[in-house]
Amino acid sequence: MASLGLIVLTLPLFALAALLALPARRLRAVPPGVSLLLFTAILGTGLLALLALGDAVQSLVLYPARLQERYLGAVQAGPLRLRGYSEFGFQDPGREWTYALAPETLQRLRARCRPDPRLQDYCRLGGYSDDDGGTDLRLNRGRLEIIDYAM
Amino acid sequence: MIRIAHVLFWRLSLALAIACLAVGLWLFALSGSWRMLPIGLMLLLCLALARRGARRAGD
Repeated sequence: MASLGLIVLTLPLFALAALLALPARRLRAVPPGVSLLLFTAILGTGLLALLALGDAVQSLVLYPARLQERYLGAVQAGPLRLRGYSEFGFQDPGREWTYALAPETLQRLRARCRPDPRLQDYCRLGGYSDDDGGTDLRLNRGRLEIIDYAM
Repeated sequence: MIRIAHVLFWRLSLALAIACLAVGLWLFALSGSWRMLPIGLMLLLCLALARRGARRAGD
């Protein structure tokens, strides 16, 4: 979800927060001294924060792990090895993850890599491509790059 | 019971704001996207304002 998605969802989430705040006041769940407007703002922003957190975990941890499992057989690099993430494109959006690999993982992946004779220190690990998009996993200068166009 | 609900409300909201800021900073470092930072900052600001009101009311 891009920034635009969060902006669009702000209004419905704050409306939901207002709906939740009314029964909360009746049940005396609103702390004394806190206005209903401020309580609604906290609830709405909290819902927005939960949504953004879930989206970040999905984008930075779960989805790239699923791609690694599918095309490399196992998760080779976890979120702590993630060094870059980018979203690009408008009508054909894509995402790219860059991982710094542990030396032994790099060695293991290099052994199963298909090198490109035209490019130095670059080889392709796997992926697929069709009309709807594609996924490309490669080693580039000792880093694992995953590019995904299927959004 | 109501007292426990209030304590839970403060603690969970603060934890959510801190988590949002931490993950937002991570996302910013990785991609330069600042989309989560305003959410975390706004939640923290709302909490600070609410806490001040609650202290004045003696909660």
